[in-house]
Amino acid sequence: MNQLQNYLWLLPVLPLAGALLNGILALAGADTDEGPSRGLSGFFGTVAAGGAFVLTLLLALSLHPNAVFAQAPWTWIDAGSFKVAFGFSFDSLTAMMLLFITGIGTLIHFYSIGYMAEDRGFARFFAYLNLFLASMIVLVLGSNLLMTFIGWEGVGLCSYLLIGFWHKEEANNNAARKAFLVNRAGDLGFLLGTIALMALMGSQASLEYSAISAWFRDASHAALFAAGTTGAGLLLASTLLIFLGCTGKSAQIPLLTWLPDAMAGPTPVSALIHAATMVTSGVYLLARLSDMFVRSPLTLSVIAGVGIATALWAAVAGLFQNDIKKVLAYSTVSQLGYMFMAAGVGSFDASLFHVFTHAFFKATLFLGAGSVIHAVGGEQDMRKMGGLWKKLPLTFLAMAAGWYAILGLPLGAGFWSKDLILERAYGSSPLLYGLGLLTAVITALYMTRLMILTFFGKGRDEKLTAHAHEAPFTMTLPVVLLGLGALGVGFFWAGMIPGLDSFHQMLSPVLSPAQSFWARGNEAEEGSALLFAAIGTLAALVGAGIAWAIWSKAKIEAVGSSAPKGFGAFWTFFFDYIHGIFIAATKALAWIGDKIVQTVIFNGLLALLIYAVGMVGDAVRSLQRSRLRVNLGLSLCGLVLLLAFFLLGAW
Amino acid sequence: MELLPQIYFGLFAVLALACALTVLVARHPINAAMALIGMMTSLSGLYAILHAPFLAVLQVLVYAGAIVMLLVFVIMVLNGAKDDHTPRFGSLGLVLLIVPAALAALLTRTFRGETISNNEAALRGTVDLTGQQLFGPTGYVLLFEAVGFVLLTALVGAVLLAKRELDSHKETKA
Amino acid sequence: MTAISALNVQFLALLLFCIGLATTLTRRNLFFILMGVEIMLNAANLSFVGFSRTFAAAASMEGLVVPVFVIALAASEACIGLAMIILVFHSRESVDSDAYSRMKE
Repeated sequence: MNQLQNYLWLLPVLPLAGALLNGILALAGADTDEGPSRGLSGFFGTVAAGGAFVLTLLLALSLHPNAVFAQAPWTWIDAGSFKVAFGFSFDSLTAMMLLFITGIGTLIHFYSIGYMAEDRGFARFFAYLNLFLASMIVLVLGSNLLMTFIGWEGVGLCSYLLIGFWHKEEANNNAARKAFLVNRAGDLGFLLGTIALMALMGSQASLEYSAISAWFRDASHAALFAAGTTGAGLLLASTLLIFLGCTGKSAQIPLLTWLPDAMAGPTPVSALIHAATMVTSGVYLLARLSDMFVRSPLTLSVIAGVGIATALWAAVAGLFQNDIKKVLAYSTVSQLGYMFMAAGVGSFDASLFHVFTHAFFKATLFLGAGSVIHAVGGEQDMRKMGGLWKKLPLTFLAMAAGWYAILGLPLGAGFWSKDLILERAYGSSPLLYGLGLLTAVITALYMTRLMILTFFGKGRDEKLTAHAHEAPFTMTLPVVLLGLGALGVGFFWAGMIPGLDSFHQMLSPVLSPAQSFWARGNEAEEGSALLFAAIGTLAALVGAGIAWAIWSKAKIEAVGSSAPKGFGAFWTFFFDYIHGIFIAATKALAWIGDKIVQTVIFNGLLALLIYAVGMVGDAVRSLQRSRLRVNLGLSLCGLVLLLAFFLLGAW
Repeated sequence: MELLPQIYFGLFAVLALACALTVLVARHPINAAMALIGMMTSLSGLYAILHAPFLAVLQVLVYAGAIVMLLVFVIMVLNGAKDDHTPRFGSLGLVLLIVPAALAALLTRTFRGETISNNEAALRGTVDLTGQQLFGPTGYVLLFEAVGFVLLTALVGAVLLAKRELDSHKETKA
Repeated sequence: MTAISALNVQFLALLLFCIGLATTLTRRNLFFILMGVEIMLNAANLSFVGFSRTFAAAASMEGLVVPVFVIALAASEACIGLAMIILVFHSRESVDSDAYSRMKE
């Protein structure tokens, strides 16, 4: 075990090397017309990701659940009592996250070989994709908040690079900038929250997760943040600010407006970054700092509230979308809301389980959508599709698996994870449970609508659907594999079947201290698991049924752009409007700053100063005379005055 | 009370003042130079009765003898006496009189009420003692040498400044 | 020795100094300006000698050494000053100080 520990550094370095190689390939092929060699570039990119996956597997298999692999190559900051190491730590939580990140990442790399084959910027794409993977690994592998922040910023950067990948279109660049800036607003929260945490921890301040968890678990410190002390205020501020950072990265209210726009990037990007991995960083951070968050009940209530509100809002928004990727984007936001709600009721393991299953079925859905888009020659408007199940059978089956999972129908992956969350939510508050159930119904509604419009009925646009063909092997294989995963991974924690809870066992050493602390303070109501499962399935079926009733027979006209209109537009862009208010306020402040403060006050003061100095200068200059005697006389006059000052003034 | 020193003092004082005033209002530089000699000689006398014999002789030898002589020489070389065009004072002069007047008033005011008394144990400034001061153990030897250098520099500088002109007879924009 | 009042000597020196100052400032002839400076230096010497009388022993001798240096320096200063008068005289043929008023204002 000790041996493998020394290779932790290899985990981020492998994809980084892949990024470098692909960068070199991209630069080398910059002058040619068809660009770099697809085989070479794709090979290195996928092998880099695959290598990281293999290493993760080896590490995970040799990791005892209670143990932690750690490697700190060097000390980064050493300022007296404040030390920050450039360190990696690999515990079971990290292992779980890295397994699906690198696993799904490798599959998506493989998928991209087929998807981006025609694209001129092939090597550049793989370079960015590998760079993203490296950053994500650093985020999860980091042993302290600063390392996570490096990864945090890195994935933000790669998100920007990849959303704006087809940078010749202005809309893509705007979307990329929007994503980056909204993320940045969240990052401010992250940093301020970290500072507040350091202030709270006082003399024992450390950025290391192990130190933070130990500090909070230490009962003697509880008095420091008991109700009414400044410590409590600091804890509240810190948790809320860090949660703000999480909302930015994981697209929750109020910083969610970037995720739907991020669909401007290529579909593999949407699958990897905006469904499976980057957006889960917020949930991961919450779980890492679980010991801190459970000691701030108000924050957890806020998190739960924000989570369910986002879930509900995004689900409704999904109903108004006509673009297949936008539906999936709002679906992601909605499912992330579920994860945060679970964290908000103290069930971090349920939240992470949903992260795990969601990665599989959402990636399936996105990659499948990518295959569909590829098949119909780039069209993304669902109203123009239809009847594709005959033409794309494998893709259809895989997406059907994803659909099955996300609805939470029995034995699918989503069944186990979503029902677990709803169970835990009921334990905390029946209202949360009710809203969660409602969201489940609406989820079923829009997902079924997606499947119907895309695959069933008659092809509404003959030109498109006539030439539709199944995707190449490199694309269908990952989709099918992920589809199988969407059905199967739920059994890692099949709550009702005793013995099938390896996931739970794996995470328990890391998360149970915080969760048991929470459970002590908040008695949860127990209900029959079977009953919850039944109600959940019923809700999904109700939603699916309503959707079938409305859309299977409806006449769909593909009029105008795919963007929602009317009330749909109001609902969809609601948060954009709110952001717009803030932006307008900032612009007004800037205008005031420029016109009034800058021009009037600063320039005015400056002019005044210049005038004053000029006057003094002119006055003094007039003492210099050209006539000898006058000059001499004035000098001596000055001397006499000086003498007078000293002799008379010294009374 | 010894009256003789006081009489001498008064005499020399009046003489010095008169000569100085003559310098102030004289029309011709030569007349002023003569008055200057008179002033310096009377000051020499003052030094003598103030128990500084060495200085008194030095004053006559160097100051009245050499410096003023140089002055007279240059006046004559430049035909300064013939210059009728330069008025004596000019209206500006009256204005500028304020400065010395102010200085006099200021210092008089400061001196009023001060009591300085002569010290009984003051030494008489003979050649012997002055020499000891200049070259002796706590003496001003270095300063003496430095002044020597200054004089050398002045000598060379004067030759350089004046020589160029006499040589080339050219107009120099100095 | 105590016959001459030390204060009187200082007053005399002061008067001489002011007359010298007045000469320097008010006269237009360059030679008179120089002569005024000589008067001022003499007045300063007199002041030194007057004060040296008020000290005891070695200190009183120090007061008599400074005038020696002053005389030496006055000599060099007069020398240079006169050389400069000769120099500028040749450019303007005038000993009027107002003729040499081309200094930058």
